[in-house]
Amino acid sequence: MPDQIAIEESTEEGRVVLDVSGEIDLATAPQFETRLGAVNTGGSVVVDLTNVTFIDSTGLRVLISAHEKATEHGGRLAIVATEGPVTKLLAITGVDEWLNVYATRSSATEDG
Amino acid sequence: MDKSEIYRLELAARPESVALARLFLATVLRVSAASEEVVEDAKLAVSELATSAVLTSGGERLQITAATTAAGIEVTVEPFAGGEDPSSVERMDVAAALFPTTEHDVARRRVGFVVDLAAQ
Repeated sequence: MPDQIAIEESTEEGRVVLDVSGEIDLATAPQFETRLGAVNTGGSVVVDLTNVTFIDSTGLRVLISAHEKATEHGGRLAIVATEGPVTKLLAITGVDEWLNVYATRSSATEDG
Repeated sequence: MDKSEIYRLELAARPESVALARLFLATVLRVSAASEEVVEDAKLAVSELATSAVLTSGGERLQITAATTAAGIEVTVEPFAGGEDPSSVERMDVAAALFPTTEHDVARRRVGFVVDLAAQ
């Protein structure tokens, strides 16, 4: 099967932005975790999941541990997710209460 | 669709198979006239259960079954060892939040849920 995930890195307003598209599950989460881990080193990171068409709790665990690592190192992880599979999983699991989730990229890069 | 249709997919127990399990179930549900919201929920539920199955399979092949019954589409994932995967409780919780019928049949080493198409 072709790669189910694509990750593009850029910088906006001094923050590292990871643009993720595709599906995050058991097969693709390791790649997501590696790329996120490489930039999540204490600064401000924005993970844009607008183009993620599927995520399950394997992907969610990557986001939670990245959030914890960012906080530990004095950084901040902002997640961009519009209404869809990502926000649904965040709501079901209740983690949207304590992760930094934004509906738009501009609100994520302006805040914090 | 005939009431007694049974669709079964057998897969190698590896991470890439989880996406195939989703695709398989989504196709069966769309053929059965399920709404896209139901399809998305079922994809998430089967992904959680198939992930646990892959992580605990011990090399056994994975089986995903979708059977049409009077109650709806009965989805089964096996073999399912559950407790051997530390994350299986939260994975089952996600499936159960979407489909309250989610049940782990310990004796038969399988897990499943029913997609009630009449309720959509």
